[in-house]
Amino acid sequence: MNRPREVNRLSRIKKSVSPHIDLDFLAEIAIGLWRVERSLKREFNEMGDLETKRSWKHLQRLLAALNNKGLVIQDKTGETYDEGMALRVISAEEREDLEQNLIIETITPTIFLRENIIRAGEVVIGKPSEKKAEPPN
Amino acid sequence: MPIDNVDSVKFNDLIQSLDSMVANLASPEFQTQLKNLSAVNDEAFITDLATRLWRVRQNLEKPGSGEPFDEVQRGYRHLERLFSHLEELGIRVMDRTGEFYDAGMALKVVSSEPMDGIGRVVIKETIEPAIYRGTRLIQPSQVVIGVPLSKESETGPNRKTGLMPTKDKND
Repeated sequence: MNRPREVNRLSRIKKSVSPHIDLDFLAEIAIGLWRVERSLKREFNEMGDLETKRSWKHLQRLLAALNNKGLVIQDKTGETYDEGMALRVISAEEREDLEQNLIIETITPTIFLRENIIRAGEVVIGKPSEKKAEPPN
Repeated sequence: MPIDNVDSVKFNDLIQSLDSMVANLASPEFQTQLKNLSAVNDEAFITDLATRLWRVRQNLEKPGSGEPFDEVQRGYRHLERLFSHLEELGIRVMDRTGEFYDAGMALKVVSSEPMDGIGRVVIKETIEPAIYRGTRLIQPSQVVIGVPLSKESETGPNRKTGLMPTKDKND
């Protein structure tokens, strides 16, 4: 049953710790939830209808509850990239199929608390290939 | 240190830095941040968050095993990391399903059901887990208990779980 795992956890906890939630903690929780959601989405898409899909409903309810508190997780994958965005570009890849800069992968999403950014997202962008701009011979 | 001996330059520096600290604390930006954070720093938020995370985890695990279904291993791993984050802050989620029930436990029994194959009262199902913040219980668990159905079942239950060994379905 669950007991052995709980016992292991207990042993890792410092009893003297004074719990305090700060913005960093909230950002980590939000990013963690985004990772859970992303992984489950992929896993569910691969496997079809499963008993575990009830967890998806619970996860969505949790995200909605956080949203009501003003904690927003923003993933802009697939959108056009603009330099004014509150994002850190980890890398940029040239792509021949692109007309404009595009966010092709999100490493971590941007986290907002009541419309204030508490953690800027990290992304990989795709940019139009320079070769494409050259006129044909 | 007597005030006469304080270096006046250092003293002015100190006053200035204190002034700027007070100004920062009073700034609208800081106050807004403080207000925003207070909305999510209360115990109602923590218990809600931890309980909801627990519900997600419950539905990813094979019943009674504490292990995830094979097809959701990745999502489950990420979820476990979230529980670790909570634990780093001293927030602990306890689910005592399967343990013997004792009237002295800090639990709310929401219902009891007769149960075959047990010798003692056991915690059959957890409706809401217990949440601890540090060593303090901030949400008592709500459970359904299973009470032994008959005296026959008092022989031979598993000492650890209180459950009788289940027969293999293929038998």
